[in-house]
Amino acid sequence: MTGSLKVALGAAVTLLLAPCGLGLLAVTALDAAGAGELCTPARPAAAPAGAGTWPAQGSWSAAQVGHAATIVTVGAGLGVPRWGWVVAVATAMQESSLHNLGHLGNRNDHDSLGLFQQRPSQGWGTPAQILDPAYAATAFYRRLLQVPGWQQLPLTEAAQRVQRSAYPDAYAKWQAEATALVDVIATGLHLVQDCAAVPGGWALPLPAGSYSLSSPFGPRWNRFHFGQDLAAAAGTPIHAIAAGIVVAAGCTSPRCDIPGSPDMPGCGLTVKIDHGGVGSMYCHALDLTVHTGQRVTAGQVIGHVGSTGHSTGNHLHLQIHRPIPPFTNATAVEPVQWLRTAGVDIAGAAR
Amino acid sequence: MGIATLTRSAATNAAAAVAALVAAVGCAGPAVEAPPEPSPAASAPASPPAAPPPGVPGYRYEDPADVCHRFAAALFSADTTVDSGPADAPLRAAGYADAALAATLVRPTVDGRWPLWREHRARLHTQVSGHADSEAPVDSTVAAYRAMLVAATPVGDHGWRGWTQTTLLYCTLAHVTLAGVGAQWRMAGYTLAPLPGAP
Repeated sequence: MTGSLKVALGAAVTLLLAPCGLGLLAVTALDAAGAGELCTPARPAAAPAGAGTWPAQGSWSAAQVGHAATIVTVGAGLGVPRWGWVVAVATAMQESSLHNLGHLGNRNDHDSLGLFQQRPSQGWGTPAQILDPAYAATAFYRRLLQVPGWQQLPLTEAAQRVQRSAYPDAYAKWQAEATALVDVIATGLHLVQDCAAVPGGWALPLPAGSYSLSSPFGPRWNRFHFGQDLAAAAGTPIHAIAAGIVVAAGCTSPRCDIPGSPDMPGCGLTVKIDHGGVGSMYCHALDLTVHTGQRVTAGQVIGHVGSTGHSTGNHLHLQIHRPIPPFTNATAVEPVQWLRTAGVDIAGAAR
Repeated sequence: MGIATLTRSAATNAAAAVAALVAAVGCAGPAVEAPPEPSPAASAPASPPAAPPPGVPGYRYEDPADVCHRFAAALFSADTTVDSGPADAPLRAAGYADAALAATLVRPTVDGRWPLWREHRARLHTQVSGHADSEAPVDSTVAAYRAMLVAATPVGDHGWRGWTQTTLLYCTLAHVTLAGVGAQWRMAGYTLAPLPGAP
């Protein structure tokens, strides 16, 4: 985000929050998520849109969409990355069905109020403050940003760290709907993400139409998959997703001269590239065409798809890391969404 | 972006929240609005199942892939002209679950989409297909792992349609022996994840 745009959006959110005495909070928090971020929310709308100004979307009423828009707008103004908007909207879907709920008498859960069912007795604010959607969203984001590594956490875990719900598993089912709603709102508000420019821009890791998406980033079966798998024929060229320097290129398994298997540990033939704060990693290659220390350009062939290492078939396992160093699980981010914000649509180019 | 693991449960605080008209309390922000009318199922939770877990009459539970498929279809089912509320779908899915998972599926459920669906007399049109996941663990005699791609679209009267929600459902199945019934493959847990790049 450019400085002027950041200031403009910050000012808009400050105005939105000022009546509740939250202007200072908004300005203070504006840079909270900026450190180490290469993709930050940018391009504010002329004015934040709230309840009543949106049409119904999908299965959500105009009022519900309006509250989601407030949540997204506040998040953008605070500099929270897009994933935080999804976490917040999904949380509100579960907690209040995206309704700004007042006290429900003897049916109320303790003293929970508002979009996020925040409790005055737990330090979330006064009832009047919590019942202001912009304040409630700000309070949610403030606590989310304090969760270490929240951008690498599954939605359920990130939401639960903030909400401390009695039903921590309940947030997950809203991820798809929240993602779709955030997309609609972000598009409507022109809240594109402004990724750091790299020479030559960003590129697909495999030729368009040559692959299908198989195993996505995320948890399942009591394990966590830290990359996106792209199934493709053996020998399909693998491209660097951006210009950078190869920081590692070689075999990361006991053997890479034989086909991989579920019993073989490691990533097989692997390349790691430093794009200047963002890293990319490409696993299970059949062969490599680059070496450590080599400079590469966006789209340059760095190897070919194979099935070396811990693998059951020919595919590219792609990981995106930020910030780097280091290339660790803790810095891995969801590749499809991240590249989408950088202007590369892996899903759209799949066969 | 992360993907979250779900042992489906419902939030009683949210269930209570979708219940009553509320007083407007403002802070120069939008007024507090009336929540939608509660679904009967949300305000009147079903009784927990007795052991053994609920079953589907005549179904043999022999194929873990088919159990996973049927569970997915049940979980993503809805017909607002017939169902009492959004809690009915997990109740149907409980028929394919083991006792522990079934117990989590019969809690009250709130779904903020339900009022609009009911307004349009909508039902979910759901398609389920097998999904090959390269990271699936190897099956054993007591555990099996399957994945399904689920596409669910609410379709109502007069041509109304909501978004198609495309989701990956990862099934963990356990081979359990039920007294008087014998061995069956039952759902022991599941994880939901949006299909990458899906709208």
